[in-house]
Amino acid sequence: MSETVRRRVAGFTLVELLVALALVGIVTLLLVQGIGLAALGFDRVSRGAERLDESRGVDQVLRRTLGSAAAVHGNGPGIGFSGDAVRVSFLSLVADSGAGLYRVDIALDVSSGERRLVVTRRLAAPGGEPRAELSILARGVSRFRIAYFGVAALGEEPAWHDRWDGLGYLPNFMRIELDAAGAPARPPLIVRVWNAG
Amino acid sequence: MPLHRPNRHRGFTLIEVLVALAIAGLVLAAVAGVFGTGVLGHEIAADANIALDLAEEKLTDAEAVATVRPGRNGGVYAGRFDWQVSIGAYENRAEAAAATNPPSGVMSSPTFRLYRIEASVAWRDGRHRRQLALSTLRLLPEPP
Repeated sequence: MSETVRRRVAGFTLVELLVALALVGIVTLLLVQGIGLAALGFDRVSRGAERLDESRGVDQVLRRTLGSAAAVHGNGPGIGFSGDAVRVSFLSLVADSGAGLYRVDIALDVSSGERRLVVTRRLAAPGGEPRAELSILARGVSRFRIAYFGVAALGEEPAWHDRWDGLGYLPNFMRIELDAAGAPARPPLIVRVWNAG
Repeated sequence: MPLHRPNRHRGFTLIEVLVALAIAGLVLAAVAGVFGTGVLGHEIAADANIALDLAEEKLTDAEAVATVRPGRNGGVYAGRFDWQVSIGAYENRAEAAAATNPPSGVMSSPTFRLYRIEASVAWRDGRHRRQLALSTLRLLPEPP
């Protein structure tokens, strides 16, 4: 009897120790998995928020740039506006780098092997201005399409058109469909051209 | 009996450790729940953002067409955003009274009319049905 008591007081049995170790092991495993999952979720949310922010920024830049298209006569043929489904080129007085008349090109660029949406601004100087300010709006573009709204021919109802070229006036609206790889699909962006008609 | 005393003070029993672990587990589960709510909130915000973009696009599209006709138009975007655009003549009681009894010296213009354009988007996330609507007024030529 006295020997049993001494053994119980002396410490754990091997079985108790093993059970305790197993329990601690299971709890630690669950904890590690939980932390891993939480980190994954956090990563996903912050990436999603970043993408959302980015696409909002791109929308803002497109809205401001396209909306500032100006009809300028006597600077080359027509009013300097020409565009089709994947490219648009126009003149604008609004630029971040200073006052002046700028030629703005927005087009899909595939020369680097990656489908990028590129905005190019250069001073619309006679003889051409070699220095161009180039900015990449989006990378890994999976879909890019421009449409133009307005009256394309006399007597017609205003409608959406795939191209806007050689007309003496600006379209009233431009619609941009832009999807980048990895980002969720978004509704098209419609931009009002403030200098139109 | 005196032998039990030192035994009780030597450390925790297995049951005590298990209870402590269970409590710690509950606390961690609560923390995870808060985190889950945050993630869910982000998903809801992202959906609301798409819905807002869609409503803005539909509203601008409806506004763009100079030949606005009263009516409804609707569709589904990305398989789960139900959108609807409704255009109706804007009726205002005070305005209607003024129209039937125009102040002297003011010429009424019969060729223009005020229209209310509303774009609403409804979507479902989980068991919640969410909706947002944008509306604007446009002065447009009356259809012949």
